[in-house]
Amino acid sequence: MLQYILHEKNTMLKIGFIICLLWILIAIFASFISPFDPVKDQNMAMRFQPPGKDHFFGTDSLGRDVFSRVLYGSRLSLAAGMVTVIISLFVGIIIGGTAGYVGGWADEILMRLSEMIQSFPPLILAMVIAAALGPNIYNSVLAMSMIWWPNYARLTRSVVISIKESDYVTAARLMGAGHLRILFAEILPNCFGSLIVMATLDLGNAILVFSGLSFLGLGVQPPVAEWGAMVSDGVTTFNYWWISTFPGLAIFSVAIGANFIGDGLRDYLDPQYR
Amino acid sequence: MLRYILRRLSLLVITLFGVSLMVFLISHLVPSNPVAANLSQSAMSDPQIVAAYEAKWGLDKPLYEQYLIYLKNLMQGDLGISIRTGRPIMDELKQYFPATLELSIFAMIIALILGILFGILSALYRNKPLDQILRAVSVSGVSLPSFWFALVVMSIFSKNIGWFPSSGRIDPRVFSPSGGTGLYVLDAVLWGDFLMLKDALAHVILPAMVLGFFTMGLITRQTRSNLLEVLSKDYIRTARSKGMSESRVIKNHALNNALIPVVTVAGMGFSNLLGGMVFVETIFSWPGIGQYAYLAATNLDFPAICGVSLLIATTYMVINLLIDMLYGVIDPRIRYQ
Amino acid sequence: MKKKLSIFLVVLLIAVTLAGCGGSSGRDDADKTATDSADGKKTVVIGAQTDLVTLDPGHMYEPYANMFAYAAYDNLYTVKSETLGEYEPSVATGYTLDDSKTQYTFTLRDDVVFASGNPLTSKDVVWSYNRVLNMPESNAHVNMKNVKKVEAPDDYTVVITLAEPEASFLNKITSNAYAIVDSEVVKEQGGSDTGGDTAKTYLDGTSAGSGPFIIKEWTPKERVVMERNPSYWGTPSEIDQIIVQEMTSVDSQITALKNGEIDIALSLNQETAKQLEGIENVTIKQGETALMTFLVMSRDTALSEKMANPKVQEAVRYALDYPAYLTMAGEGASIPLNIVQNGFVGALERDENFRDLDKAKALMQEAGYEDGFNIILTCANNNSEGLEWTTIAQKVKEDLAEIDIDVSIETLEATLVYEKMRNAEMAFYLMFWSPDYYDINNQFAFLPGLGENGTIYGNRAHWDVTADNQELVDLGSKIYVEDDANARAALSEDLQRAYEKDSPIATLLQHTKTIAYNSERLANCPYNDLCKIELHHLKLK
Repeated sequence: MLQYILHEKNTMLKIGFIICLLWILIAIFASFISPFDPVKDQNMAMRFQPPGKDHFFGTDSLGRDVFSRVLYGSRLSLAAGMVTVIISLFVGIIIGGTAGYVGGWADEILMRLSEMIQSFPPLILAMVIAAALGPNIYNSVLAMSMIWWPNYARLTRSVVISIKESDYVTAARLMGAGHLRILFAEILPNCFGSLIVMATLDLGNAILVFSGLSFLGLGVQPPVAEWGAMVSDGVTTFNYWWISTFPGLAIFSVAIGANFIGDGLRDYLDPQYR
Repeated sequence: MLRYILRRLSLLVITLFGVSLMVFLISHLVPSNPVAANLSQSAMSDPQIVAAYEAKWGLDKPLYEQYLIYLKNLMQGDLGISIRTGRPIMDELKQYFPATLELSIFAMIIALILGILFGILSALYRNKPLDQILRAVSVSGVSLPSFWFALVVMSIFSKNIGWFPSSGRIDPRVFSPSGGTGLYVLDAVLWGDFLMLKDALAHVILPAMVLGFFTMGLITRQTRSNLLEVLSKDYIRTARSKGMSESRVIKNHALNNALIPVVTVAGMGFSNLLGGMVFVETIFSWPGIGQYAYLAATNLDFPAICGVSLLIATTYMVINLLIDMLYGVIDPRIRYQ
Repeated sequence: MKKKLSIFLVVLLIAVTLAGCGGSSGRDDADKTATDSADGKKTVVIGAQTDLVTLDPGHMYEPYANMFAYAAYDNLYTVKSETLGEYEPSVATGYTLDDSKTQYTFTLRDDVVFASGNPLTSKDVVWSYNRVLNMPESNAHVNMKNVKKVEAPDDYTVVITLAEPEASFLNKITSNAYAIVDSEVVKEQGGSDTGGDTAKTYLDGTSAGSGPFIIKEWTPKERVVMERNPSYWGTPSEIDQIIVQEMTSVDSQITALKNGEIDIALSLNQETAKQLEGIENVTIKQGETALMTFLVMSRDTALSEKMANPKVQEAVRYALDYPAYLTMAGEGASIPLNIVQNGFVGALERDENFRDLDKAKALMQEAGYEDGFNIILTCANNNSEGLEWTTIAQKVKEDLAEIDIDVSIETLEATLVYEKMRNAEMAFYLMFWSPDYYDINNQFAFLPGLGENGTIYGNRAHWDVTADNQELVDLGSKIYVEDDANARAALSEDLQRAYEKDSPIATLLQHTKTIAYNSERLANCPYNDLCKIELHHLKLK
């Protein structure tokens, strides 16, 4: 696969990898490359400074360096996005796999549940959950995972149903393999490709929704640097455009990176689209 | 077919029941109280006023009793009264829904036209620079945080260039549309009021663009990959080998088949619109369901949250049902079970 | 061939784009009529984020409620233009007060008529007041709790008996709770003065008053349309129509004002208003408000033994960097010494250089916490006149770090914070207060007092009356009934100095309101904190 990335003419996949790698490095080394502390370096005399050579991205309403805050913000956004996708993937595979494999009433109930959650306005659900449990990063990730898994469940289920009666599964069954073994070793590997593409594409989306929740004040607690919350800091003072523009661009670039990778991976797994 | 529709409709009822139950359960879990959200600072600390308020809105009754009352009213088409505004929720939804509908329709039109166009061009010029550019545009569409994009777009097109009015649905000085369908653009057309049509269009374009951008990205992606898939099929090859011109191949054979799955994505995109609605409506002061839902959620106006959720769930499911049926009409291979 | 198709597609794309831009010309046409509405009416458009919930004066309490109530209804007494809580006669020509100081006798003008043509008589006043008195679940009801009975001995006399004497009663009477509605009309629409009133639906869509304007239309989250009342008894307004347009984002208000879409931008803050500076036809104006933002430190040791310590609470007051808060709130903001706002009788201000970190540290040592401690500062997703609370809270966190108090900020939805506040479940939180009526009496909500007969913030901060602070309660009861202005001012100063010795409140700011208007169209834009823009006093150029 690495070879594919390096040698194939898939510019988007390459760009996507470079963007994401860059952000991951920034997230890891934020404390070394940030010129200022994102939280403690308040300076009321330096409020609303436009971008310049001391503050590349200017300063905010408390005189903090927006550049440093954007760098630090990458940690939360990346982590929240990934954790959300991983949890939903996990829950989705289990529920979808069970529904598809067991079938019957279990299928009916689980699929009705996922349909119900999908038809529920996602932002309202997330808002109510975050409001109910108190806004912090764990609760918003939980809220997001709760609305995300049905997509994976449906995909898993459809693959499981299409394969479970196939010859080689029957063969495995005749050889005395247990249900769990059949499900995990024989059936599920068939949908990992599509699931990974879906998950990568969703990563960008999860980062968008997470920052959206923070934008509404339902994500992280101040003074922690988080991109969505930083955009909302600048909304009432949009004449100081840099306060929201740079974190907004940061969200955009991460999401675009994840989507490029997702698109590229799909091309890789399904060469017909190349 | 009829049996299929009936089954889907009965599922709709079950889902709606589930949604309403879920809202009620969540409402009970929230460690908050509509009293605190809707009374003034002095009033909420006055036991007599609080008691009278709770009695008036039935908040003093146990939860299951509140739910049963709600269900009973719901059967009669009564969604109850908003705790926040004291007005019937049915009336409020009737007022806000057309605004949201109008915005979504325009967003959807923009998304469909641009999405299909970009998708076709992208597939035709596969791996050429135009393809790369259009794919980048479509990926941008699904990567833009709508709350930020709305601010930027408003700042550029309205504040700096001044092409579009900053917010709202219509210039209140010039027009005072009442009666009619509530879809101002449609009303303007029906009334033959050209000035009003222009004004309403000028107001709707920016928010619709922001809202439609995400769906545009999805549709571009889908159209491109479908068209590429179809173009590699045998019957296309046969048509080509018969000496049919490329444009006729695409027009007569490929496009129809490639666009069928786009319908599904368009349906998904429609429900995505509802998600972006909260931000776009708030930033553009668009008086629709998104703003209403946000106010209901933050003020813990449970009857209203429930009403909005039911409305959105119904819309979502009806659209999906319509799409599935449409799917069957344009693609006879699909059978309903 | 492929080329042909793509040319066609590109042309289609261009056509769509052009159609998009073509839409923009609509506004240019609208702009030509910017001064007035299409049918030649003199129209003023106000852009505001009102979050209006109802237009029934018997139910309103929202910040902008009185702007609409004052436009459509009259009161016996009205707030004096551009003042904070001064009043003057309106429908009443004067009053007398009996010796018990509980019975007010008002004489009414005899030339006041409602928009319906019905004359306004004392029976309308009595009916309107009884209507609110019998709506105990209404927010407006709070301001009426002291009224025992209302009577009308003749057509133009109203006698109001209070449960207990109260020097601020005339002040209360200027608010929407005491708006006089047309009893004939409202009764027809389901109104009742004995309970079970259902006229709210009707009053949400129109008005039934005698004020300078009539409410023609309300589309929630969109606009309120008011038209001049042709049969208004006072000097008629020169404006035919006023439209309050809902604009949720500050930026869109600024843009709309610049472009001439609106004449007044009502929900600005000082930082955003700076972009309007230097624009020729725009005037920025600061209005006085009684809105204050403060920290509450509960005395409940069960919540936080450390924060509940009076010494610590005093240390917090010494540790705050007051000039920084003034910078945040902008020009015109001030810091009240404690609970009496600038503009109220005898108000004192906090010395800007009050901060004394040595003293604060000494107090922490006296309390036994010289090594500091951790505490959660709860702050709602809210703002005071456009200044976000989270911004304030982050500054508080930095200030208190100087005396080794490690603050973690917890932001919650406003509704959750209010519920916790009602139940007194927070040890340390940021809150604001805008009085129900513009008199020092309303500020006694901040005096000590626990339990059913306690005060609002006494309960919220778990601050009981003790021998040490009994003085506060005594001063409060004196001021409550004192009607001599000088004596009241002296008592007020005593109260604030006594409060300074020991309290669970640290007042951070008293805010100003920033508005901007099109000075090419409007000659003035009078503002007072009760009814915001004084619509009736607006003058065109």
